[in-house]
Amino acid sequence: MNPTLVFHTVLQRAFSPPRVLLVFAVAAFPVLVLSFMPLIGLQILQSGPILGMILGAGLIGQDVSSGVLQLLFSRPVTRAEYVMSRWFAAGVCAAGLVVLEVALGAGVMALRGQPAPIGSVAIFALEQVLAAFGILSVLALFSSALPGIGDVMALIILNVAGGMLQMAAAFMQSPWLLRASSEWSDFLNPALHFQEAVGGGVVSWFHLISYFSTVTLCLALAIVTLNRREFSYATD
Amino acid sequence: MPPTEDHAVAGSTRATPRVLLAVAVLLLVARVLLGIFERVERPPRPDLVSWREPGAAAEAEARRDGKPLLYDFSADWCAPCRTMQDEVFADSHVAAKINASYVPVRVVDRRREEGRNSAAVDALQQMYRVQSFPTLVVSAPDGTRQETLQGYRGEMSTTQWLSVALVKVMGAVPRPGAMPDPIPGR
Repeated sequence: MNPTLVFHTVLQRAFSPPRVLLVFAVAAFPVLVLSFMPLIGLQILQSGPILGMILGAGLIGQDVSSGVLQLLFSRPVTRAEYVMSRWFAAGVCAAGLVVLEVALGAGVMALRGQPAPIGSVAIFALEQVLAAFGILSVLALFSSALPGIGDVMALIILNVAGGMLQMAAAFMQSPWLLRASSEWSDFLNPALHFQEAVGGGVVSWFHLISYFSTVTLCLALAIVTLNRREFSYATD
Repeated sequence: MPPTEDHAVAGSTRATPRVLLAVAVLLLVARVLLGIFERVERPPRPDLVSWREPGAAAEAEARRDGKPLLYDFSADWCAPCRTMQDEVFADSHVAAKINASYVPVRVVDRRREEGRNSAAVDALQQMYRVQSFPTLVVSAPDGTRQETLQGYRGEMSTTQWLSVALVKVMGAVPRPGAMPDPIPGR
């Protein structure tokens, strides 16, 4: 991890006007709804993956398209360092926003007479933070191979394909196809749901391992993909 | 063009993340093995929702308690229905929330096994225009408002829909105590 890269990525992500606008819309709308209908509960604040997508769009691809990487890699910065720093920095931005949104939501619920236990709020916020870091690792993988914000497009297209696979599985009543579509979706949207993973006192190691498997695999493949690429102004 | 071996090694920016790769491969292997193990070894989780039989008794209970009806249209042969049962209705938090907030009614299609359904099942399927399984319907106690969810879209999506449907069907403020756990909780 390179502190300078982390710092500048945070600045780049946090002060980009289109991102700020989108983030505000995505984070504020559910809180507004919650203020009118507190009984919906914190579930409506599941913004972690969307915030991750907004803050992670073009995580690497934008630097490739703008020519920043050609300059950056003339310095003693490894590509692994670059990928990990970008991923971590975008994750930190998303985590900060998620915590702020959940805290606001919990506050609104308390003001409307539906206070949520602090432990549940903390677990919910942690789940959303992990979901944001998870989707950022997937975006890092796609972004290492695609220019601009092609990573987000790829993620959307593959999610749509996953949905179609799920519909086909439901139509054909095929348990194996259903499982495949579920794995597909879990890979594209890595998240850790503690209730599911530790439901009824029984730890589902599969759920725990799946999340970390997806994150590490995506980051490792992102670095390997970037290592295989040539960056020079002559190739553009 | 892919880099040559010399490029990849000679003090360049392309250091291979060996540790990360090793951890990723190890976790991937563990994931596959655990997936198979949990599928084979893990016993099915018990359904914790107190389902009622379809009929007038459930409707009367809904009117008396001022709770909406939650119909679960399913069939024994339906694989997504079993997945939903295992992931949603076997979850103690979700089950507690459903038992407290709804009058849950399971409507099982028996046409494939027995050739026909009971009159009550047929009537409910027609009334709510059930096309596929699973289908969840939340209906106000007086039947004036309904919300329908076709197919199983995963645990999070289903539990979120249950919360939103309750508010939509009962209005912004359901009767006090109808939903004791306003927390995300699944």
